[in-house]
Amino acid sequence: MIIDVNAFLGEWPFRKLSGDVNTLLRIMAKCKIDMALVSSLNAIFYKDCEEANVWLKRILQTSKSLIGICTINPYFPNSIENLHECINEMGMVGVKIHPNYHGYNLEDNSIIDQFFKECSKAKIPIIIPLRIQDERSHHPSSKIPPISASQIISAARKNSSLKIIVCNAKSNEVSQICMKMHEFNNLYIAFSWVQSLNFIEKMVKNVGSNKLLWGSNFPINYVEPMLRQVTESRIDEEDKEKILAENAKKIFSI
Amino acid sequence: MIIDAHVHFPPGGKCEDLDELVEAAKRYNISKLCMSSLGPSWDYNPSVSAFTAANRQVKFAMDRHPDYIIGFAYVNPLFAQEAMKEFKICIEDFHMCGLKLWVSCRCTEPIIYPLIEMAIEYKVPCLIHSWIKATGNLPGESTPQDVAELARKFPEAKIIMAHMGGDWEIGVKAVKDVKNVLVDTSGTICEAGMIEYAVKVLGANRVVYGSDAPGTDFSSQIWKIRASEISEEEKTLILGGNMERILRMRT
Repeated sequence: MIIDVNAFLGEWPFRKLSGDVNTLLRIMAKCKIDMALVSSLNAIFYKDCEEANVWLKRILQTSKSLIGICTINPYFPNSIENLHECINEMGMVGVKIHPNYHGYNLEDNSIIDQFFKECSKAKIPIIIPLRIQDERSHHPSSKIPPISASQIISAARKNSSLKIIVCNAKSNEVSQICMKMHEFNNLYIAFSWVQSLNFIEKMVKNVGSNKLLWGSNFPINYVEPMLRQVTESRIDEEDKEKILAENAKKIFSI
Repeated sequence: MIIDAHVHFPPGGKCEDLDELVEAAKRYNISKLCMSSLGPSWDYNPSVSAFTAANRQVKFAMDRHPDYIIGFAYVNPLFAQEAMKEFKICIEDFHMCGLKLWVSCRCTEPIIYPLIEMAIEYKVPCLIHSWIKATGNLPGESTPQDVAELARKFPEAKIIMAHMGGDWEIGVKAVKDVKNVLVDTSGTICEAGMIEYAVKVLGANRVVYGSDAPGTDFSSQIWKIRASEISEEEKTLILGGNMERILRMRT
């Protein structure tokens, strides 16, 4: 079984992309991906993410293999209420946040602390993509620095019962985070970026496979090259199953 | 036949890392690796001793894996005389088959011209790093527009613009009308549509597969081509056919 924990649907303002349901389902069928956890790409650029979450819920009704992940900006009014609506009423299984696009720092202040506590209390896993697109290729009007590995480590340390899944990390950032993984039980990495030679083998050897997952970053990136990095890596089948599905099932209770 | 147009001797210079790289490439049925070394410390502005040492690493790799590693000479053009001397040694004595230029100076600097003229004379391709970064280029880093300008000045040169110019939308369009420029697909950028775009704008015969390994894994880089929505004939050209044609210029 294969579960993609980092897919998006929607429009990207800087380039024409095929971020629609039919394209995603077609690629999933081709790559034998059974399930995708999907959030709204538009929500990254909306001030109020609620509308994007409602749109996503409507779109996802067309397929049982697509599971909703809501997007929340903790600094936007009413965000906690919107979070609970998405989880309890719309059946979404996690939350994605974009501190770099929504203009805050994970270490900012009590608002983010309160949001993390709420997620933690409700057992809602939180997905944090360090970037959406390589920052070297950003549009001149929207140069968004990536979230640093140190911010992630600090957030994981401070919120020990909150499950944090990091996506779109480059190999050096994955290494930096993995070096600290033994200090907490709540930090996970989803491979969803091009990694260096034999990197996945090395990470499994260093930290085991219990904290590793896989995501595509569809529709920004090609899906199959991202997937092949795991399926063609020389790791045990048991480790592959954990990375590709089993860990996601446990974390998101699916 | 799969030929990887853009591979580096592993940083750190360890023999076991080289063997690991070659072993991984063979698992992907890659027939040849075009390899350069950026030296022990990947210095942006390497000294003469640094780039000569880098080329001896590649010579070592060629000797250790004969018929598998195709050497590309790496020089710092700012050391004009020494760079030309080293390039000559790499081609004539070490039997390397290309020139690699990185970020010590932009490729529009006239100090580079004699090296390009030598490459034309030797009938070898020039692999030129190129990027246009939203985060800001290094002072000596060539943009795709620089590569286009150089290629227009030397229409006989066969130039491979690395990483499709980094920001591939700009990169591909910048060299569209400069027929002696090909682009390589190497690097960590793996954005949906990039290969289809290059084929549409340039034609498949101007696109070559490269990985930039060991900075990337062969799996993602080869599947960038295999998973793209282009014809099988076009994939065959990109994965090896074009590079085979370019390397045959010398024989």
